[in-house]
Amino acid sequence: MSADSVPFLQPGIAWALVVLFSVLWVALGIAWGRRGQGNADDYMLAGRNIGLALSTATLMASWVTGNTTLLAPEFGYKTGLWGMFSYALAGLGLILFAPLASRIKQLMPNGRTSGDFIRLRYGRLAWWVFMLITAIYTLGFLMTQAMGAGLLLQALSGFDYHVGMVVVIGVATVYTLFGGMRAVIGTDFIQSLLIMVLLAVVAVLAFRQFPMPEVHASLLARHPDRLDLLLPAGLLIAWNSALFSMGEVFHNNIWWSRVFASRRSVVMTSFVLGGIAWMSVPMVTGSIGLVALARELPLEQVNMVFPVMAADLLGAGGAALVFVVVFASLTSTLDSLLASTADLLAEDVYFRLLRPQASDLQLKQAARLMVVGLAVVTLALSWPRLDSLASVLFFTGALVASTVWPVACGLYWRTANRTAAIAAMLAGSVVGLLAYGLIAPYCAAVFSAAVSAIVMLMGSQFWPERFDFTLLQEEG
Amino acid sequence: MRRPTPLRVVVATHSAISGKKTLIACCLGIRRHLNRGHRARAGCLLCLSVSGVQTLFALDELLWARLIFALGAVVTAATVVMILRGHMYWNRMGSMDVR
Repeated sequence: MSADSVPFLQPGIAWALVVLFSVLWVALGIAWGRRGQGNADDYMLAGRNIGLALSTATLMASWVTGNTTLLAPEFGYKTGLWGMFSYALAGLGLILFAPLASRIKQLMPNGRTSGDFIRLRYGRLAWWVFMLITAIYTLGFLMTQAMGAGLLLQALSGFDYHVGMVVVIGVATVYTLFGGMRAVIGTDFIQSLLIMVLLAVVAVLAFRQFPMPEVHASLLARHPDRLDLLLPAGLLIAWNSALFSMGEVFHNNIWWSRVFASRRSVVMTSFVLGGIAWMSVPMVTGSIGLVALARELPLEQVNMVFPVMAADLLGAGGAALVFVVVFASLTSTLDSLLASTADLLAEDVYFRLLRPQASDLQLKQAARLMVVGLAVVTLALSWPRLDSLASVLFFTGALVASTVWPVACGLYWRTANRTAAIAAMLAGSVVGLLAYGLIAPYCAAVFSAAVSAIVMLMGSQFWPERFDFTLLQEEG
Repeated sequence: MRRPTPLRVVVATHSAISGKKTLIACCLGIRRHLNRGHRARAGCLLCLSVSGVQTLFALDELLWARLIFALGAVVTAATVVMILRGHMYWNRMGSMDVR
């Protein structure tokens, strides 16, 4: 069944679900946003006092994206077992960031953004390079979420692509705008519970109808290459996901803002638990992709495997469950992206670069304006529909993987050289993009991280600095 | 059926137009070395270069994938080791030790 033909969910049911969850998220977001002191720090970082349960849930919910529910099954469908496993390796990004999070919390108890760290640690030029990388990545990430929203609603309920996109972005924008980080973290908690419970229901129901031995036998007969652990495309993807995810998490302000918002005593544990909990999601959705392959389900767009498969197996009920899961995934990621990117722009560009004399109220207002501005830009960029979300995503992998070593070395090594950090980010990005174009999109992050690591190691070895870490602590 | 233009004619024509004899000689040399019937000579640099390039690109898809897989594994392992060493070092030293 194609995404453009008969919808799986009656439009009336789909609209009822959209209205129900939209009202719920907006009402809860606004209510939670009214708590606290109402200053800029409270709006941007939820009072810096988030406990273990909320912190773990918001990390997991933010990392479960539209890509996890749409791309992981696509990987399973296209590249078999390795595709599924390698997507799950992206959980390493959160797990390996745990020790860094602990270090960040110790060094920068009053910090607000990842941009703060780069500027103080490596200087303004490195900050420009870093901001360029993070801007391209964030826009790419926002676009994939927005396009995922449009594709999902279209496939499941027959909504126009643009209507679905506007609804999801609109809802996430409204409660983020009025509730700030408190609203984001609060709704993330409920969204993560919904995602875990409903995914478990879909998986159990699916495998009861089409048991694993049958799937295995069918794959062995028709697509033995998908079970081959030496499948070239699968091997190419394997470490790319891990390094790509490290790049995403290490550099992006979504995760840094969670570090600053959480209590110091829980920050490391919450990243480890969030990463482990997240890994279960691509394993489940990826296995659904394998089931689709085993059943020879015809697909016009490969990234629609999961919703098409669930609706095919479970009928309208399955379509409704997937609809809720993906709606929660998309809004939980979009709210985090909007809030943390708005914070980054308000703090690093508006406050530190343009108006250092701005008051607390002006800073908060700037953050709110940035939320709206980002939502508008995302809509504009996502308006033309692209065939594969993977092509957009892997392009940014070449860039973000180059930040892994500069960020980690900057936190641990006094000797980390600022010129080497700039060269590492630039050289890694260029080589990663060349690998993307000349070899395969799947291996861009591997080459980017490899070159970046070599440049960072050599530069800091031959021209070591003696950085004073207390310079990071002074920021407040 | 039209017969292909002999190489000498092509070279002579190109030489007459461009006058770049060095370029022509290089092109001719490489072309001769790439010819299947060409016998490689031990002391010839061009023979060695052509052989190296041909060997590199003769690797099959699986071998390329394995090489990239190995590179990814090495980079990931190095990153994990660097992070864990840094974490343990600063845990021992105390986070604010700035000596």
